[in-house]
Amino acid sequence: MRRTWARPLLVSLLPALAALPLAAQESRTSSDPWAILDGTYRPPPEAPPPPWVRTQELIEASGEWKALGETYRQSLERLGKDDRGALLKVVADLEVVAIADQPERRMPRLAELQLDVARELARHDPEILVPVFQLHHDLYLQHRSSRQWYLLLHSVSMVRELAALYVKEAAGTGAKMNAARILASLAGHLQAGQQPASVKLFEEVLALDPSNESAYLGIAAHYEKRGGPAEQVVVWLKRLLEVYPEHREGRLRLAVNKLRLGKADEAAALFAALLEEPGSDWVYRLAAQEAARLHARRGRIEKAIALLEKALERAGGDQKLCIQLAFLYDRNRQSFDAHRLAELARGGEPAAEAPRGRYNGWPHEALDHDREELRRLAESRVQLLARVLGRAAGPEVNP
Amino acid sequence: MSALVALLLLAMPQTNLEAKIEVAILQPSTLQAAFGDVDVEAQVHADRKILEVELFVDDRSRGLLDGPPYRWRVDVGQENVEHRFRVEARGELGTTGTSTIVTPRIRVDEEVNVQLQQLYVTVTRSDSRVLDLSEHDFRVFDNGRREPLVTFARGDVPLTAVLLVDSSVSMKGERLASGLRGAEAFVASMKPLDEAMLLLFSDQILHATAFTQQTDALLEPLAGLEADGNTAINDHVYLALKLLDARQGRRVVVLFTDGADLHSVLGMEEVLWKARRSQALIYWLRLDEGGSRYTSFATAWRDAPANRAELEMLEESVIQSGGRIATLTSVNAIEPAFREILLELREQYVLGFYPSSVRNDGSWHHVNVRVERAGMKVRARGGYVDF
Repeated sequence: MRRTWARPLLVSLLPALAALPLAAQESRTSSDPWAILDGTYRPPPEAPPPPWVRTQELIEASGEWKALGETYRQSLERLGKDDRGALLKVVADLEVVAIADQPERRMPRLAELQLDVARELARHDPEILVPVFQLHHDLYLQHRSSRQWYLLLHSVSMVRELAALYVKEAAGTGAKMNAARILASLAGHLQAGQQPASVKLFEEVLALDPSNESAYLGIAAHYEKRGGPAEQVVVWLKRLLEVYPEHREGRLRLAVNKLRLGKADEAAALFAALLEEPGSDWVYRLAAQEAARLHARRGRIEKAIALLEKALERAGGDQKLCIQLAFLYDRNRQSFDAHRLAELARGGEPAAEAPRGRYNGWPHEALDHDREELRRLAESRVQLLARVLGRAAGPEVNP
Repeated sequence: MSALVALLLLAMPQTNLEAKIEVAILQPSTLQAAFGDVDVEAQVHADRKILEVELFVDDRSRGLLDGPPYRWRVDVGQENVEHRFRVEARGELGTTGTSTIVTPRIRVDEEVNVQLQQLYVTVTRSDSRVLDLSEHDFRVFDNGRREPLVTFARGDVPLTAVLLVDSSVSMKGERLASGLRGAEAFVASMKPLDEAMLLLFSDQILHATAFTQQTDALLEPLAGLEADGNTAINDHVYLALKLLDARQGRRVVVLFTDGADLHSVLGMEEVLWKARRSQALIYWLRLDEGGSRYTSFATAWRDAPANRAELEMLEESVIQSGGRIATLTSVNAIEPAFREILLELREQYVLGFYPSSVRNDGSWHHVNVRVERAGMKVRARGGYVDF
């Protein structure tokens, strides 16, 4: 790759940039970089650049940005050919060098340059954009792991722009669903540390595809994990259940939150319905735990015990059910039974995923499914992209 | 032909009715009240094969046998109440036979249940343990009323310990390795009559041994065990207390963790309920390398104030049990901390008294232990439940 324009001094600024505290970027001001998500982001007022930084005009005049565009284009051609990790590193390095000395000013120009390439390609066939937004989605993860905060924002911005371009050019419900999937996937990743931005993105997903399960669950889980308000959680879960009335996780979460709102009878009815359905998955086991807790709280210890005994029959030696039942036996002065259950818990095998931990985590199954679908789609479009890029190949650039 | 089939069909139920299963309960006796562990024995006679024999106590199934001898041992609890024992035998073709007896309650004008209360007491002066006290130096007060000591011992009273080692993902690497070394040091220093169980937990039990005196049996199967999952402290402290219920003598829980409870099905209030009814001492080795004790956090199960309250209640449980909290600021402090607990247990005083004002009403009795010498700090269980 040609990097003659990138002076070592610019590169030396990278550690300082990487060390920028994330918290500083979380404040909601017009210059907050995360404001790109609601379109209110404004770069800081222009100030005379330090004497060692070249102006954008000088860089443009030198032809370096044009060469950068070509390098980016050639990288896209290598999609599906080179090792993906190596390709991601090449593009990530390119972006690092491009914005290093003036990240907030160079970022929009870099986006413009990459989008110009994408727009040109989309004229041939908009489906080509699928592997391109998948690439920028993966670049987000790359920049996150290397703590390149500005480029992480750039990747979010690129995925959104490319998804919007794809919807506009490809049209149709299928395109909207695919665009929604890539945004949902990104929103899922943003949940680790940027929850408000994640919610914003999930809302965009639902504007594109009102049947996106991940988005409803993601928003509900966001409010639930930060401690409420439970009313807000219930609103989003009800929307999910309007689309998917039989959704087991949705009904379980709704029951738990109804309980928080003091609607114990409604919660009990939801738990009871879940317990009547076949199977002993994590939803069943958690519904049994919560239903038994509700009985115990209402002083119905015998009912709680009967419910857990039945649940244990179905769920084998589930450790949590054993411990909970041991405690209730203990309360009921059935010390022999309590001890038997405690021993059963001690000897029980750990589950692949503890139900209460699964509930507290982000609902990942739907996201995992969407990501897999999207990856398959992107792979199927790579040859198309290569053909188009081959037809309109630019000058050769050394990788 | 069809008439013959009809005749056979009519005859079959009659055969069933004629088949007999006789059941007799040999023990317990209907003349004696039943308390605690009760041996039940039944005799079954039948002219057909017996498939299974089931014991019910107070209408709850308590055991099922598919062949003789028909003997069970069941715990009916300590309450002075009638108990109904029913044995039901089931044979081929749906035949059944049952026998029922009822054991009486003891008739008394006034019922008083007086239980020996044992206190494990650590006495220090200027952070050094004081080892030369006699029973005359101690004063024990139960709800403010002074109680005479009926037993007094010092030093090596045998103990049974549950070592609860947090093995959640945050313990990966040196933290868990140091915790296991600490547990090993604890077990290696135990005396011949002492026993311990090692229980590694995250948000579920990852590994648990039986009670044993053997260091190898405790630690050998741990090769390759990876720290994984979140943390559920409450459930496993309760479990430890429950498993210790069945043990005799001095009982100890040592909890080693770097975090707070996230995913327990039991609340700390429920654990406190158990801790108050247990005579076990709880020691909490809290690894706090980053000063995170008061970090505020919310989960899908509890908001930040509720999580804070859980931590405070765990502290209360530890203090009320007569144990203590040791905050460790580096992994190097873990192994010595385990050793120190065992040393402290070796140097405790064991005081026993019979409460003079029991009502068996579930109320909490505050117990206060004083030493009549200047500069002494006394640590012991803060009370007990009157039940």
